[in-house]
Amino acid sequence: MINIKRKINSNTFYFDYRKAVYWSDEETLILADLHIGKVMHFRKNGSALPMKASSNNLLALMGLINFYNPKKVIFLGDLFHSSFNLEWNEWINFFNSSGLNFTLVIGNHDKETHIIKNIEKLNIVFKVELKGFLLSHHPKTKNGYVNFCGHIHPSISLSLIGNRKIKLQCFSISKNQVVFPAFGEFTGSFEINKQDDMEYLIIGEKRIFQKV
Amino acid sequence: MSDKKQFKEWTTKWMSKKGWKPQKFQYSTWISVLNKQSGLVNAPTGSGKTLSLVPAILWPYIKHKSIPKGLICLWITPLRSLSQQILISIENFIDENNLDLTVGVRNGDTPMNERSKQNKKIPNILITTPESLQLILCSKGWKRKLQHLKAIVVDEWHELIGSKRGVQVELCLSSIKSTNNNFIIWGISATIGNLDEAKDVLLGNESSSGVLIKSSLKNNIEVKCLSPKKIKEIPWRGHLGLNLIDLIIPILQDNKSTLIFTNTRSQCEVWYQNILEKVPELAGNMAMHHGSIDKKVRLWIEDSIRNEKIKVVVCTSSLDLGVDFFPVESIIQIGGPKGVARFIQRAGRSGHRPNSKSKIYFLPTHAIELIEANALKKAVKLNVVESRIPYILSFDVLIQHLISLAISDGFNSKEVFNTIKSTHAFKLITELEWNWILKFITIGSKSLSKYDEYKKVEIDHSGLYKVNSRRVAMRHRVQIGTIVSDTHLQVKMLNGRKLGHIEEWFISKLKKGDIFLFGGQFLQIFQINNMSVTVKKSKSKNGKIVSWMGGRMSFSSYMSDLLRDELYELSSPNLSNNYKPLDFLINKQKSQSCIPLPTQFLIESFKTKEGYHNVFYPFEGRFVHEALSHLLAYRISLLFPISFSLAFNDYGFELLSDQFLDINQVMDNNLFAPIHLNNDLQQGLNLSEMARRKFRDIAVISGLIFSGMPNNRKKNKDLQSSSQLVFDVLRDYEDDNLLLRQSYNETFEHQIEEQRLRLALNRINNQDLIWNKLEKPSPLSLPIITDRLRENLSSEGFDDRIEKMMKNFK
Repeated sequence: MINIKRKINSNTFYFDYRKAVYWSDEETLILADLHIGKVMHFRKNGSALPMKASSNNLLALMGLINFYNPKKVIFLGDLFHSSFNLEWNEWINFFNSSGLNFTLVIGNHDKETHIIKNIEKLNIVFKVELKGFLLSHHPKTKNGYVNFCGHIHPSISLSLIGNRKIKLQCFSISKNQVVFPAFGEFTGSFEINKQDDMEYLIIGEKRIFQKV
Repeated sequence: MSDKKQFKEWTTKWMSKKGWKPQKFQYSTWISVLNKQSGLVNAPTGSGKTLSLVPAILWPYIKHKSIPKGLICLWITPLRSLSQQILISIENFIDENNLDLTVGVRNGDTPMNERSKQNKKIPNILITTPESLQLILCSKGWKRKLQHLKAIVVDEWHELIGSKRGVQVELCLSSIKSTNNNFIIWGISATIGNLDEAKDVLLGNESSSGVLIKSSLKNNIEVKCLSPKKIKEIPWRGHLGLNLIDLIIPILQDNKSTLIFTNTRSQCEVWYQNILEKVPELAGNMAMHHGSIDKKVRLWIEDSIRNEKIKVVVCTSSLDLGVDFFPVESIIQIGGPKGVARFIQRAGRSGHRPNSKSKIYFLPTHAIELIEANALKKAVKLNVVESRIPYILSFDVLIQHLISLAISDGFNSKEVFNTIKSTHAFKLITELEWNWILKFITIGSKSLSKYDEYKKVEIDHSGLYKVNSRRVAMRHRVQIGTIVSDTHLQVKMLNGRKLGHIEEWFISKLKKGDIFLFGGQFLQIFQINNMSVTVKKSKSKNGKIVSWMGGRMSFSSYMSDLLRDELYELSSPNLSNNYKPLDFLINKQKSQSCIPLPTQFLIESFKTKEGYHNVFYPFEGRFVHEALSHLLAYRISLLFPISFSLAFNDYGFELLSDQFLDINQVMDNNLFAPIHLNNDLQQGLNLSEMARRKFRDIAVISGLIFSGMPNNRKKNKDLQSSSQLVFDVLRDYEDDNLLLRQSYNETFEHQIEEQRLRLALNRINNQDLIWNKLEKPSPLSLPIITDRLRENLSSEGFDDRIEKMMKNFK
């Protein structure tokens, strides 16, 4: 399966192995933690990481847009990694020229608000509340709302035979919350503790898996 | 009177005043130094090796009573703690002979005011570490500082040569040589298997004119094996050996001082705790010494041993080096020391007076180590030890070195290329590789791209490579060195007293209020913040035992040969007395399976609830087994889709699978053949973690990742990344990256020990494969199948494997 369909509060969501969710009722694509500019930030400080790693982020997003054809894209924070650098430019061009509606829920890494605010086709908000859904960067709880958030970069470990473990990125889902995996390349992940009342959708190479 | 005659007369007089007689190796070294020759002197610890060089190097100033200008001698030691000893030894010499010379120490512990004093007026003799030497090359005008240099001495060269710090020394020496060719280079080394090579590596392309001087002093070591009287007291597996603790108590009580060597820091902690429980009166007379204990405490312990203030020290390899002239009466080694050289070195810690006997007790922690003990006894008798393989083409160290040069005065690429080609490590570097390195440090990729802000080294209009950014320079200085460790947190008491360091991954499993054993006491976590853990003492005696990920050692090839020979003897019906305690287990192994003959290669298969176990016994040491297991797993996976979990120790390895494996297939398909070895390993390893582990050091040394400013780690958070992440990014987007390639090469040369692997495969190919299908695990297999460090290899698709795992998902 390349995506898993889920009904939450009578809305339909497609959880995609490419680390994004498509909200079909709203024709909206949701993703979190892109950390644009991270590779260049490292390069600026003398770490020679390959620049190709960053251009792949944009290709991956365009792939998703072609596939779901959304009207709107919402980023759940940490769209930009650090201070402005030239890696941002191709993204700013993309936002301004693609004709889609982009919204950024500000995250803790999105510090250069004076630049971000000036990106013409990117709306800046602190949260989105819509049809009983609360979209934020940090995990939040609010009565009567289901929270979609990023920030955690969740991953989970699966056991192989002989007690060896393998770490995989995942969506972690509870009754009131969906935590998104980090979309960006070169972002790393944080291993979360498994809990019985949680559901995990696990990111494979070309597929997404659910607990059976 | 000729100069040499005069020197001879003077030394004889000086030595007889002290009641000494020059040893032959000292005399030969003096003459070579007076002849302005470079070389390597091989002498055991405590034999007066410092004095084999000092008088001859300082002779011009002794003879003429003259005062030298500037720095004349650099003394490089691998350990800071050694610096102090050498300082005392040289200072004594200077005082006794009323010389007007200054000596100084410069290393990471040197206080700021001392440093600035040294910067204003450099001492005549400077004792330093490889890292601090490189920092000198980072400072402006270093060439002028070193222009009067007459000699560089590299102490304990055997400790440096098998590591990247050796490469660091080679590069620094070559740079100094390029500005001043008036000085001689001397190495001091304990016995290693490749002394000639050690000399070549140290002296680079000038090695042919250098001399190798070996002392004829023989080790005089008595090995005693502590084995229990009752058979069942010695287990087949396990590594702590605590059930034999009663055997060592009398030794502690009978000797004035004892060093107890353990193999890991956690073993050290546990033993310390248990000895204290057995012999409470040792409290206050016993200490623990390992790499995570705070530096000040360690220095105090070293001093206390010297002053005979403490009776027992439980330690790890942290005390292998340095602290010469111990008045230690006996040494106890707990568990296999994994190598003959290390064992001899540890034994040499006792009985340091000339001609006195060194005594070492060996306590096996499981049955096979009893076999190991006998092998060691033989090795000590023969006095043959292992070689240390020098690193070559360590591009990460080269990059670090080049940036140092670019920070100080800048460098010219042609000149430096010729300089580095004169070293042993880089004599084979190609122009292609060199150009890649230059591009890496200037534009950070193979070709220039339009929008890039990469910043490190810049080339000015005259072609000089230079670092202009102060930030880059500062970061580089902080990061200099080739020893990379995990992120550590400082452990301190509520009152601020520092206890030592602990690895982050261990602490991350604990929370406030948890109790753990560290530095010999039970501590309760009060709070964890930033980079420190605040603790208070706990009365509870139940805590987690800190474990450290530190390097696991592997048998040397020489050790494995010895062990195999011993093992084959067990197959004979008449056992020597040494093996009486093992009778029961050997017979069990024989009845259940067998003990292989020299012409046989044993494979055992059996099923447990974990799955299908297949255990192979090459007896070649952990590293070779790691590679062999990957190789075999890969080759089997070409026959049919299968997933394995791999485990290995020094005796053999295991392939565990969820399906039955027909070993006949392995035999029929000739899977142990040495052909296509490189290619198969490359393929097999791609799926594993080995290269990625090697990459960790490379990423830090080459500056690809930044481990943060000391005490200021938070501030650089947006520049933190794990080397694993960098490895993945490079593998996915730049697979021809030289540093990535280096991680594979290092895996081949230093982890897998490819040469050894080939020899092992050849041997196995000439043996008869014996396949025993068992009902349950044999005694021999237990230590392997219970090993908790495992790896995986699979030919099933990634997603298919996840699917399988999801079924077992808990």
